[in-house]
Amino acid sequence: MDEAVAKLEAGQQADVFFPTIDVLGKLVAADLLQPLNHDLLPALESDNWGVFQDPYYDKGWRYSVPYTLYTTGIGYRRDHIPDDVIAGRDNPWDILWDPQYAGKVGAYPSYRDVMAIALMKNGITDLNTGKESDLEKVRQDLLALTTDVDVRISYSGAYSKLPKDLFWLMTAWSGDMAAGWGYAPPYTQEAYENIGYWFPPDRRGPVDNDLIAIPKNAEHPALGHAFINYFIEFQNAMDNFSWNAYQPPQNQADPDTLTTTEGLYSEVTTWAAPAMYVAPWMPSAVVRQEDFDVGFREGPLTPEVDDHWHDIWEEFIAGART
Amino acid sequence: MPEPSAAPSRRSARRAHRAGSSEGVHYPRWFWPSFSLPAILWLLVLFVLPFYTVISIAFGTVDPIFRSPLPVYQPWYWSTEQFGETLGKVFGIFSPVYIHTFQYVFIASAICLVLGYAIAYYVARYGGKRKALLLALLISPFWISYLMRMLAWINLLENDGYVNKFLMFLNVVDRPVGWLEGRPSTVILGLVYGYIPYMILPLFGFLDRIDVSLLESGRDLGGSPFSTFFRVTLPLSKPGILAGTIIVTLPMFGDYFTNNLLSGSPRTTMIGNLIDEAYSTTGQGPEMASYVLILMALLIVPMLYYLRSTARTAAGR
Repeated sequence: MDEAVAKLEAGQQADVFFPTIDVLGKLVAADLLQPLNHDLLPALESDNWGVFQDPYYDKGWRYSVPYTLYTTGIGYRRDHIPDDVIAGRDNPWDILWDPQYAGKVGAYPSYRDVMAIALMKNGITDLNTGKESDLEKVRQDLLALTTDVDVRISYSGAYSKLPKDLFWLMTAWSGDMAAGWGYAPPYTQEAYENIGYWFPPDRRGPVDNDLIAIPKNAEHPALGHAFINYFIEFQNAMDNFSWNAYQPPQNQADPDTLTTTEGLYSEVTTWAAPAMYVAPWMPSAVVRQEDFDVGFREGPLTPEVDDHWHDIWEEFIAGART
Repeated sequence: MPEPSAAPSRRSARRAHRAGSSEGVHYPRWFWPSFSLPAILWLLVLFVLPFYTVISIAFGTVDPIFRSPLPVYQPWYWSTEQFGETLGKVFGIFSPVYIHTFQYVFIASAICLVLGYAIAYYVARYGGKRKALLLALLISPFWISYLMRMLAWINLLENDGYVNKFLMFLNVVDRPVGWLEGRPSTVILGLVYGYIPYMILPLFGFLDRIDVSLLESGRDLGGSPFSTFFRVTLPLSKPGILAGTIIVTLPMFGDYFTNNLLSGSPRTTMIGNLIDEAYSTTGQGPEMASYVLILMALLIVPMLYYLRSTARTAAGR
């Protein structure tokens, strides 16, 4: 995202841009986005969840429309960690710190998401905290990830190393898990169903969404609007969902049927058909509108707080205390 | 009619001067130095300018909104605060990373040298007419990109990969070895595999140019094969050893991909990973540039030794 923002800042032209929430305010402040013409985006009001008609990060959705939704939870292998083992723990988040899984735990190289999970483990739900006491707990937990479970850092862990049995547990975005079960060998139904995704049953966990916007210097803003409207129309959004497994906030997509409804992926592939929008064996990966009422968001951090977060993350990455 | 002179006349010398061809001709003073112009331009554009930019970022600031690095090119506005902080980390919480890196690079370079020397020696001395073919075969795997080769190693080293299957078939191990579970040995071997051709090529170049009569003289004077090797071949190939070592060592210090792909564990983080991490994180531009400068300062020592050594060798010829 930083590279994309840097290019936009340097004057590179694009007709559409896919920012994350934490940079949206900066892009607006730097006058790099243009206000959207709502008349050209009828699909937003007709097809998309009401919660995004006036989101907290973009009141009146002046500059952005929602793209995809995701939660951040734990991916796991059922052959080593049955569902009841993870769900039955007093604090399932702390399974990532359980020394009996040492060498088999993975984490994204994404400081906000991994530190958010450390906050959740400690019962801290402000995922943008700058409190010294909160961050010290996170720091201790991150360092413990190295000393106690010898964590591995990997973007591909959720969809590659879990299926290959290199990882048994992994911090995971719901979209990666919904897409990743069939990404790597051994390509058997038993292996697919062996991959699980845990997210708090009360849905009180990290939840977020990505965005689409139009840069101020767009050469074809009308085309950009047409593209966005196409992308957020029900069937097109669902086809995209079927392909990349990141769910769009579509009114017509009943969350209760996403694990039983085949998407475009079933039509274009033969090896994995039938492929539901979300694999039936990981229903927790379905995102619901109510999740945004009870879940917790990662928002922008002040520069000072961001530096503090990064210092902690850097200490973890450097394998301090080893 | 004057008699023809043995010495060239002024006119013919001037003609030859203009033509720039005949022996004993004087060229303008700028003629030969001008040949270095492309190299000077290359250095200015691709080294001096980027290096000054890195310094300007390290001692510069960040954009107040996006926190992207803002280089400060006027030295009188430079701030040393960030550089000082980074230096403090290098000697503090990041010292294990620097120690790892030096250990890994030292061991990997040593393995590259031992293996590379043996291979280069064999090809240079016993390759005969097949030298070019042998070199091409040795280098052939490296026509594939470094990233692809590392990804291939991941498949080979996985729990159910061919390496483990082979070791279990031979009963060397009774269960799969976790090669990819954050082992320093895997990172070191990855570095060796990635960089060994850059050791072989300069070594071969120097070993191939050693006059065989010098080796024969050593034997004629009563030297055993071993003493001839250690007293003749090895000293004569010292420039090749130094060149090869420098060529493999410098990129190894900045390598981050090998560790990312073959380990991924914070226990094996190298200096290159710190630079990569700072590069990819908002607001850490000055810190990233400081890491680069500190690494360069550390690498200047072996580089100066190499330059001094090659200068001595050249002077001794």
